[in-house]
Amino acid sequence: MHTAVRCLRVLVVDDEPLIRWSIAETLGAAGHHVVEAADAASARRLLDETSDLDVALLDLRLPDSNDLALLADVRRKAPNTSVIMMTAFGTPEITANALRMGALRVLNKPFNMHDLETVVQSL
Amino acid sequence: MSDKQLEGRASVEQRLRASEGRWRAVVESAVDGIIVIDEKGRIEAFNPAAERLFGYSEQEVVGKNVNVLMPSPYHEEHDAYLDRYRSTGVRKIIGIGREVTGRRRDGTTFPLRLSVGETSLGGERKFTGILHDLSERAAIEHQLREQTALARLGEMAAVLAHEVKNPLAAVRGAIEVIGTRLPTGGRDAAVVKEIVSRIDSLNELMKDLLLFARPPDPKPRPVDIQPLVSSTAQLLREDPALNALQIEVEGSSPPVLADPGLLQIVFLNLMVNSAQAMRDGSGHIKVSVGASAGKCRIDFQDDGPGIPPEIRDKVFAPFFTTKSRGTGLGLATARRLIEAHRGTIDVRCPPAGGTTVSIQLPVIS
Repeated sequence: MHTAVRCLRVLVVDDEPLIRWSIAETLGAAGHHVVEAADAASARRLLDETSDLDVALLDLRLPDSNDLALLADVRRKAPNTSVIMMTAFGTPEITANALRMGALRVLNKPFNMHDLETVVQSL
Repeated sequence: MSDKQLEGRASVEQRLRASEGRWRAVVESAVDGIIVIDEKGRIEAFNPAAERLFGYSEQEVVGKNVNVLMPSPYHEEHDAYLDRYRSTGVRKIIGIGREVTGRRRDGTTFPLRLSVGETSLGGERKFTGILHDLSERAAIEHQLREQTALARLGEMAAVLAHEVKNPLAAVRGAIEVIGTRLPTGGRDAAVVKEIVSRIDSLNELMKDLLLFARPPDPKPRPVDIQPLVSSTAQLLREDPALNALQIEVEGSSPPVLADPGLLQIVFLNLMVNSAQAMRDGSGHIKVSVGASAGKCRIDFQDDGPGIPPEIRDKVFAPFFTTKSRGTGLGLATARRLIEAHRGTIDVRCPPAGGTTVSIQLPVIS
């Protein structure tokens, strides 16, 4: 049984529905509130509408964004939101750039859902 | 014969000797090999460049069939070709020239450009072959082909990595969530655990492919090799599957400029390979570190069954494996990573048995 130390509002941006579902189920079971977006445009709309996001989990490659532009937008629009990047092809350069731009972690896909829960919990 | 006639004859002979001397000098100083054969294919002349190309002296080959310089199947077919040419006049090389393969005295083969001219001397038909060594060009072409293939493989691996790892992440995440809802200790939960384990194996395979196809650029810093080898050996000693394995590390060398993370991958690959070759992970690996002539040398010596001679030059080729399970990327990746450090890697199987893989890396000057 999962017990959240505190309830976080988490944005998950990934075009793969199964990944969004798995993350939402895992973090939801841990007591967090998860909102989902399948592309960068939807994520930007959610950012404009939601002011109290604690965590943003962003896939690096989205149908309408293939770089760190969404990370830059989150950092600008919601500077207090902790950003975790997710990537299926994490080169050291991508990781270094993401960390330099303010991401707290870069998770290489596939990752363990339990590890993700631990990372989010530790923020 | 009058004095004038005698003088004239002496002068002609002198001119003939001078002319012959000139031609001999041309033939002997030619950079390309020149071989003269008679119509039966017997060698009559073999210049110094031909001696260098094939490793035979002129005395050794004069009078022999020119087919000693040809590998199979040309070796067996050449006499019939000459017979056919004599009877039909149909040419394949004579007067045309083409790229062929030569066979050295030691049995090795090499590419060469052969142009053959035909002449008649004293009513006898002779063939003169001019042979230009294409080994260097072939080596450059081979290297270019290899680089192009690796670049393509790198691009393909990048696409594949995303297109495979993303769905793997999706399936792994979903099955993991479903697994948490199953009664613990039941058959279904065990199956889910197995599925996750298989997905992780697939992911490891993708990681191996990416490491080979798109190795990261080394981030060099001064590295002491002996402690790095020792810590890598310790990692293996802690692996329960390899607890029967004995690893001995000895020697030392001045530091090298290298990426310790990448070198550790190489050392790990070599030691795991040796362990797998030796009776299911038992056996003895001796790692000797030393230095000479500005190079650090690391020898990984095992007491396994060795590598059969016919496959020894293939062991560094990507996707070559003799194991029933394995990607064949371990040694290929090791070679790529060592070459990225301006080093060399080679494999030997001493007659006494076992296999020795040697790495040489430049030490910091």
